[in-house]
Amino acid sequence: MTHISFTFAIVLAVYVSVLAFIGFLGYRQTGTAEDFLVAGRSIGPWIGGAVLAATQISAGTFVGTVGRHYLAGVSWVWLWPGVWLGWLISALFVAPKLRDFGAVTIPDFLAARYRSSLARGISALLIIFGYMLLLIAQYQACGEIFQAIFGLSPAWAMLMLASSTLLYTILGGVRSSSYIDFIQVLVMLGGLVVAVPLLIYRAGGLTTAGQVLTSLDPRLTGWFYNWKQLLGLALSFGLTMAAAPYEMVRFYSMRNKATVRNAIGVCFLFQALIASCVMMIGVLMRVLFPHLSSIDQTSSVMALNVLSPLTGSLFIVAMISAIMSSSNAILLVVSAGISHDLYGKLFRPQASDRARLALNRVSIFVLGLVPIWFALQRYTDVQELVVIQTRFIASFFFVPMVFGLNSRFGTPAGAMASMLGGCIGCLGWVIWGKNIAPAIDAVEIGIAASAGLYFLVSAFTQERAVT
Amino acid sequence: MKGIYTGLLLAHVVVSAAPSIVSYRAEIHDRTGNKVAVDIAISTGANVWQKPVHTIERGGGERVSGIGLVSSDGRAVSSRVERVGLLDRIVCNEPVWDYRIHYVVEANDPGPARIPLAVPEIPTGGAAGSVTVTFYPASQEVILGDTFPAFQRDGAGLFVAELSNVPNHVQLASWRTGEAGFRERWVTPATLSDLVVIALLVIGSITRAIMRRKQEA
Repeated sequence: MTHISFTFAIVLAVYVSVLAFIGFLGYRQTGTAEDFLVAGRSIGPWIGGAVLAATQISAGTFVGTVGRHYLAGVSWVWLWPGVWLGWLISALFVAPKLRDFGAVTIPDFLAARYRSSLARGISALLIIFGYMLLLIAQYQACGEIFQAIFGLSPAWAMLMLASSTLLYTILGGVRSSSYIDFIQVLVMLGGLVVAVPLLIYRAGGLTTAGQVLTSLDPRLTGWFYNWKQLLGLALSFGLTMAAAPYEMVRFYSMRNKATVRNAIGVCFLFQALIASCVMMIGVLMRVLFPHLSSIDQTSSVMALNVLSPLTGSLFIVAMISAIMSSSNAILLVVSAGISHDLYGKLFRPQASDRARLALNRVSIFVLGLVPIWFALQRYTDVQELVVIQTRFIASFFFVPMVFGLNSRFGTPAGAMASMLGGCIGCLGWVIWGKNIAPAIDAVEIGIAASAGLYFLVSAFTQERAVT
Repeated sequence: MKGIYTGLLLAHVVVSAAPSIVSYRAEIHDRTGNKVAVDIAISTGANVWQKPVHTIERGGGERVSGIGLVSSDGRAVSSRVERVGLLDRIVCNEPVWDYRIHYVVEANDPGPARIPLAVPEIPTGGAAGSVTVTFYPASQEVILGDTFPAFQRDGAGLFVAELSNVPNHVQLASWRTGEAGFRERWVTPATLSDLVVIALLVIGSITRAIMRRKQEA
């Protein structure tokens, strides 16, 4: 137990009570499976923007990105233009059209656009595979936080995260999680906004901090990564953001096309602020603690040792919020892949709405527990897990989603070849590519394979689908 | 699925055999004037650290003098100091595993003292309490107000901070009992940050309530 444990326990108890209350309200208002998955399409721009920001700002940001800034300095910030380019592509070419389409899940859209049940099945399986990686990252981050703060076993921390996230996801679906996300964004911003000036003060001012960083390693204030590495990483994040199923499912819950565009604008504002704060926290913590035992513990060490007990507790709650928010979004997407796309549309189309809702809740429960084993192995750091996942999602979905929404060209065979080719290309390059050409990122191979196969196979199969 | 994930993730495993700091015990003795004596006992456990390097920051304008290293048996450890930007790098010429570093810090300005610590260039194991910083105040003095990191007063009247990693400095202000006023005790960056957090939450909640009322109307 640490000096902030008591304050933290009180802050956490208050926070969990608020979550439970909102989850209960969401449960009372959730009547149908569609209500559960898309909140009756009632979310406005401010809540929607906060939801998008909260969904994307995950453990990868609070734990992984802060850790990478700690390790690599300011140059990791060049990933954000890639993320924002992805949002721009989404706002212009993906999100409004997808919202107009009126689907419930991404496989819904792919199945309808390419008139293929097989495309639905493949995309649902790829979503489950890709997003389980992201869920592993969330659990691992949670383990790091609780271990650093309470000396608690990561397994217990992960079980606690799983049970609290499962509770409010199973109870309320998207409706309750949307309003909880809004509160979580407030808490995150509060923690970040207060942490930065305090860190600058502790580090002796910005000038001193910059000089100390340069003295530690000149690359911390310059270029830690070369432009090829940064381009590959920015592409991974950007192209994933443009076609990320777990972000897109949030568009479905918004009122209309205009709301979707405005929500993306609001999301930009939140993210710009959060990105700046996260960078400052990472590099300033390098000044204060030059050699941490684990880069993933940067945020936790800051909350414990730099911030006051109240602000530190709040920041920890914000981190846990981010993890819960992302875990919630991921669980909703992967469980929808099972209950809605695989069970409800492929295997038992005649299944009742009630049966689908029940299966949805059961699959959330099971999928929420499975990643704990993988997270306990701690194969790599949290940010690396997030990067691997973004490479896969971009390689699976960017081409069939963006071209499918904006062009009449593209056949069912082309779409399936694109998804599978992107998957195999990316997977192969992640495992063997480093030995062949380390300068080329796996996402570049995945996207190239996906695009090449999409156009080639579509051209040969000569079918025209209806947009 | 399990095999694929394992193969995929194992491709990124980095194996490191470097030694780590098992315990780091810093003692800061308040001397008269603006001087403090720092004495740090460091252990790497069973693993010998072949090329030990420590850094001391000189960012706050304090003067560090009398740097010396001794092994656990009292033998002086040969070392040299290299200046790199705002850092002094203490480079040992021989391997160590159980040793002490001592030096004296003289502050320029009155007010909270910023006392740089010698930071080993290898991390700790991350265990809670593997790093302790103990402040021995002059008689009838106590630490009040803003500190970095957080200190707790123990039964013997000493101030102890328990951490899992080594900070690059300690910041504190010691006062004679009854000498510190309200401002020194309570108007600190930490208290102000708490007030900002509370204000943000209150304003956020009110805004949310107004938005919801408008939405319902």
